Amino acid sequence: MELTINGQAYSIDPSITTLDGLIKHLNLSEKLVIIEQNRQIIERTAYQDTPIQIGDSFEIVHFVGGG
Amino acid sequence: MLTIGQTTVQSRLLLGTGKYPDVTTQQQAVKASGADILTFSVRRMDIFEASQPNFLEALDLSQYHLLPNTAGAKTAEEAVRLAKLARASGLCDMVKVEVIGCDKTLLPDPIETLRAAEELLKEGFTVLPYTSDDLLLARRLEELGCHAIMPAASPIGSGQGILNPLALSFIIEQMTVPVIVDAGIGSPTDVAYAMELGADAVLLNSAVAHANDPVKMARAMKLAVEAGRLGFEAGRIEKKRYATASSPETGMSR
Repeated sequence: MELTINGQAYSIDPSITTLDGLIKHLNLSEKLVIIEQNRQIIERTAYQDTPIQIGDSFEIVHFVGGG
Repeated sequence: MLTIGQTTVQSRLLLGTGKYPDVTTQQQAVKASGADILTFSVRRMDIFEASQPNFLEALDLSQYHLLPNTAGAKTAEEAVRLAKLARASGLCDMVKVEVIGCDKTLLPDPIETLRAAEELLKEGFTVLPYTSDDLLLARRLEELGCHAIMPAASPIGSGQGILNPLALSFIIEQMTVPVIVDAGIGSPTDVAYAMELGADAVLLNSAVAHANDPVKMARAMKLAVEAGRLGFEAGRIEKKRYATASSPETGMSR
């Protein structure tokens, strides 16, 4: 299944159907990340119930040092 | 004690977390600074390098208040989006509104800053706008309901210190919300000067992160904030043109 993650094309196995599955696939379960799906922020508690579809665009951001 | 919105902290030094030589130095500098409020930025994660250690994972987050900035935003809309992303972490509801209008000077765009602040206040954020040292802009931001005003001492990362103490003191005198001098600080002298002018706090990053010894400089800045604040509270003497003897002028033994 073709997705866009942080502006880059990304292909995943179609057996991954939820945002929670995508996070696990990317090894980000333990990471402090914030996710937008198609420009909509998804709350952490909703990952399990959030379906992902072909063509979805994700922004995965985190905190970095800054002033 | 410094109160910003609903948050009260002990330290009047706010520390940025960017540009340290390494994570260990950063951690030690944060500790040495005594800062309770730390700023940071929101950026895309490199999902192919997700195993890289993140500085926040090394911090005991229960010990600090997190102040995300909207650095990188050039419009109010971009700033609002970054603030919402930061808040979705569940770790913070404060935001440093930073909308840059000029890449060379990194001076803030006043109109976009005002628009972003207005929107974020509607959304329930605790809003701390980074601004120029313009009194009227500071007043507009306070009237909107901003929880602190953060005027620049000089351009970000320039280390030029306080270029216009008069403009800063006008803002300090007229604001009822805390005034946090942000950006351009170079040395402990600058920090003490800002605090002696009556600033409620100072926010700095490069002055510590890029010092030869960031940990020692962090401690120097902590002491400078305290010294400057005490000096302000104590009330300095007037400047006079001529000398005034410190020793008694009578009873001299000859």
